[in-house]
Amino acid sequence: MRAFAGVSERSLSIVLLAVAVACCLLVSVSTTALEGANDNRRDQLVLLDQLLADPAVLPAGPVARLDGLFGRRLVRVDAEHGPTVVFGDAKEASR
Amino acid sequence: MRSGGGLMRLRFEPRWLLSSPLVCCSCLVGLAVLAVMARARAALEESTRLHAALVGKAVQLAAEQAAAAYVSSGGVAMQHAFDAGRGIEVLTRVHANGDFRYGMVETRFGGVSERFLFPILTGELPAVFSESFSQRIDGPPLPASWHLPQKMAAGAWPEVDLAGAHVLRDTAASVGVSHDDGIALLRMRLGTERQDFLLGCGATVLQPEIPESGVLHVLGNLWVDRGSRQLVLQLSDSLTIVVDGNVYIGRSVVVRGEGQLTIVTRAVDGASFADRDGDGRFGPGDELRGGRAMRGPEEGAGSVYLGLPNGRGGDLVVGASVVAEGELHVAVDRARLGGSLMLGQGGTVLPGAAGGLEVAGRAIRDRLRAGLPGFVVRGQPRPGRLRPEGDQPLYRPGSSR
Repeated sequence: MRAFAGVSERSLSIVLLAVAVACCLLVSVSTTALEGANDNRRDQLVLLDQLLADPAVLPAGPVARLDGLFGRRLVRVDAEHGPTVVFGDAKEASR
Repeated sequence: MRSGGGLMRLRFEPRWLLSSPLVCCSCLVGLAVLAVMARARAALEESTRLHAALVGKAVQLAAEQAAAAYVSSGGVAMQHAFDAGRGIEVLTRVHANGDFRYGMVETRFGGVSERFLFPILTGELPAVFSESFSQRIDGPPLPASWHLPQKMAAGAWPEVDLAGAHVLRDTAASVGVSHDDGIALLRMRLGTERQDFLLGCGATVLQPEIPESGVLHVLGNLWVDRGSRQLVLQLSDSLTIVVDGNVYIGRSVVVRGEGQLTIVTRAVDGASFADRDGDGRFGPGDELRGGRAMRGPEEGAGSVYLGLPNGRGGDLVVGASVVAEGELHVAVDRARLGGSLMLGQGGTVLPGAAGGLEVAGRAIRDRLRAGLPGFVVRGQPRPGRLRPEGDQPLYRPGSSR
């Protein structure tokens, strides 16, 4: 009886450990993906900040490096009052 | 529990952890879960923060676009809805003050309203305002110790716009500037021939009432007298002082507040010269600039003196931009300009001074959307830079500017 209890406790521990490891891995992988997305978004926001402060830092045209930041692509255009950044086409942003 | 007449003490034994894998396993799992969850929580919090920043940028972009559409339509396009995607739709409403000089964009997203103020500019400033230090291409060589300026074509020289300028003549006193008969004779042996005006007479801190146009037109010479303490100018708005004469700066001038100070000299009634002997008047040994014969007042015209004639060296800091049609004279050991410098002629170091010149070059980064009073602009009307309401005052209460 005592031996049986020892075996079942060990088995339970192994199962618990395995389940916990699997869950932790899952959460960890998701977290890594989220951290990567955060890093990317942070870089994009820094670039957008620079672009808003001085739109002339990039040539005119769609700003591919900011794709995915919004649902619409951002485009640097040469307006009458100088370079500016505007929302472009919605379809292009999801490419 | 008693044992043998005494209490049996239950003491924790480390071997229990080894003998029971469930306890050990639970501890390990708990630690791992804690670590993983803490990391996940930090990532989620960062994601939330970034999303808020993203919404802020979407609002800013929408406000910029709405302001541009409003100004280019001449005030017709007042309301817009900007769909940034991902569920971010920003509503905007724009309106301007009575004389169409200032506008406001009101944005609305997720029940939160924000306001941005912007000046409505009539055009763009000349390209030379992008440079921190420039000199007309036909100007004479500058002292070797000075930095090399950007050369500008004669046609690139900024044209002064005096429409609505507050004119200061004869004995008038205004915006911290007063007529002074004695200052020239006090600082120069023979004085000057023009009227002389003194900025910040006896004051160390001055908060001038800025004219509606932002331009002060001085018909005479402008002085900042020598002194042991610097002159602090508190400017709530930008001020351009156009001087039809010379400018003499005898002590440091510090500019504080939202506005910037620009000093412009014009040689409208005389000639400019290099004051080699440093006495402030044209004489033997001085070199005439831009003409064959001396005309007009003997103190010349359009010149700027950093440090007074017959100066005593020392350091001088001037937190202003200078647009000098005539010669720049440095009568101190080291002069530092906080703003940009445009020279129509050359530069001269006066005798007895080391004559170092540093242009810190607070050039106008975005001249296409920057407003500076007193200069002719070109191109289409446009919105100036947007500022969140409450961030800083764009114009004085009660003013239509």
